[in-house]
Amino acid sequence: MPAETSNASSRRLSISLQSAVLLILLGFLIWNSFSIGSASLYTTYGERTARLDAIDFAIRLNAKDPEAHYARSSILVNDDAATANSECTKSVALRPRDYIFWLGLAQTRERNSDLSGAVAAATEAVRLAPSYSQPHWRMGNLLVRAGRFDEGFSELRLAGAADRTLWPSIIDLAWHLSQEDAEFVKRAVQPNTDEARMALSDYFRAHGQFSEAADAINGAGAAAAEYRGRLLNELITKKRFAEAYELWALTHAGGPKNAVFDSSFEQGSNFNEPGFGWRVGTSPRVAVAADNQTAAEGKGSLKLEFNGEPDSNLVLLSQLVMVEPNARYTLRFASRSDKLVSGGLPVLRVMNASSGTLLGESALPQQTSEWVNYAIDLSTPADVSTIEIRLQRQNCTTGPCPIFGVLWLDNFSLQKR
Amino acid sequence: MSRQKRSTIAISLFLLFATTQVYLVKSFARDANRAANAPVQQPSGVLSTQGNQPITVNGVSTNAGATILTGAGIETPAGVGASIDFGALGSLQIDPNTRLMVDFQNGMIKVTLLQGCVTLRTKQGTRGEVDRAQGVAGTTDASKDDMLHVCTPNAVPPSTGGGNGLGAKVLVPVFAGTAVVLTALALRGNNPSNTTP
Repeated sequence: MPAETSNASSRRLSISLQSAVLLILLGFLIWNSFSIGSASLYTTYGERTARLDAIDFAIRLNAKDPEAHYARSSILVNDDAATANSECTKSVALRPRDYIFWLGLAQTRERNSDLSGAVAAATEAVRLAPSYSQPHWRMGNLLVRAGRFDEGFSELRLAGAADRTLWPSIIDLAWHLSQEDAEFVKRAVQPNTDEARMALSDYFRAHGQFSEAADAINGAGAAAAEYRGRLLNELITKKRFAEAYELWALTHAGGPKNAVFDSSFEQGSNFNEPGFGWRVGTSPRVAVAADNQTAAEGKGSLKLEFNGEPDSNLVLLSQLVMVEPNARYTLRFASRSDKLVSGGLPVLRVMNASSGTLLGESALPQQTSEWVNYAIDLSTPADVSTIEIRLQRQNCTTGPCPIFGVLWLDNFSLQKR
Repeated sequence: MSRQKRSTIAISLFLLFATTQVYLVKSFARDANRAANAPVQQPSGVLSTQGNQPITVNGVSTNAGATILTGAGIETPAGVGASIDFGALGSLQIDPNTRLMVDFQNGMIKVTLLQGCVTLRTKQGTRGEVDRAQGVAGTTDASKDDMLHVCTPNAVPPSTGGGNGLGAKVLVPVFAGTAVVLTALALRGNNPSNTTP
């Protein structure tokens, strides 16, 4: 009996000791979890509200929390750069594989005029996260501020490649740094993706460098088609015809410069596309289409079917054509009509595309059962690089002024005399 | 060698020399122009933004860490403040909803405030000036570290109560919840309520 009693009491003692150890361990774990969790909570709160006391309390709860030291550094960076640097150094020491902390350290070191240290920290951030944009972006800017432009823009190009939204900032930096030198900007950016080319072109466009804008979009692929169309429209609206033509010609091979594009309407032109091809005015009462049944020469022509269009000012058909200034040209074309009835019959005009002044015209008759050839002689003024061929209607003396019937056009050519 | 031949050679040599001079001078001039166009290191600032969110610099969306050059136009959206560190010159704190232009060079920071509020801190040796549409709003003293806070009359006041309120909103329920759970755990097994209906 006494032996059994002794065994039982020693077992109880053992259980009690084990329980005490477990309780202490549990208490330690609870406290640890509580302090880590609370420190994290206070850090988040301090970051959001920029309250240093909350961050300090977080550090008291868990001095080994790198986030808390980093948050303290971020808050102090403007007012106490030295302490901010020391806090960031602690966060890097506590979690050396986090590129964010290295970037923070680069920033605080720069604030403390330790440029080489800042570059070293940013280099480590780049090494840890080579595919991310931010390390390259920060490193690039740091190097540019240090006057190391080639290395800086090399890093910034990597940043732009990783995040295309950075391109406008990179281009803007190069533009202002070089005091608006487009050549320097091109060298700094070296665009080799559609995104970079579009960003560069758009920047030049926004800064009135239209020739550079057209040049920058040169090598871009199909992804830039929409942008190219918008730029082309803007260039034509601003009467920058030479740049517009260069841009348009990139995607419209064939036909020498200064010639009418798709002169026989056999290339399947898109009549709504901006540029130097045929364009038609939109009206529900005029049907315009290529006609493969009727032709003055070749396989087809353009057929305009009028069904009571009342607006005599509507430009029915037009094309911009590049010409030489101070030169004499003859525009030839063929036309055929069927039962055209109107107080304002069609007329083909050649206009100065810059000023809108008339350079020559030829009225088209009501009825010609056969194709008739026409020729308009014109001289280009000294300041003209572009003319516009326009099919319109003659002014009506009374309104409304509807037009009915069919008109065919074919075989345009512009020849220098 | 005849006298005429000698004079012809002399004239030829003179012309050759003169032509070479023209090309040399032109070549030097071209190099000088190229050197003039190369960018030079200039005073710059570093942009920091609240929450690393982008703001607008020179009409372009720009991230924190960007280099700010003199003449920059800066615009902060609602809810995003920013600051520019000018190194030895000082710094500029920009409130949300603010538009301004900033010019700076050695010993000078000038802010043209179009809308909003700014706090300009200058270090000793730098004179700061904040202009508004009505004229100069204030200057800092270059003989010491100085500070200047300026708002335009139409400035949108920053939202208040978000900071402390958020803390109370976050912390009180969390700690209250923790306390309730701990109390429930401690009292487990001691049902204080009357079990008999």
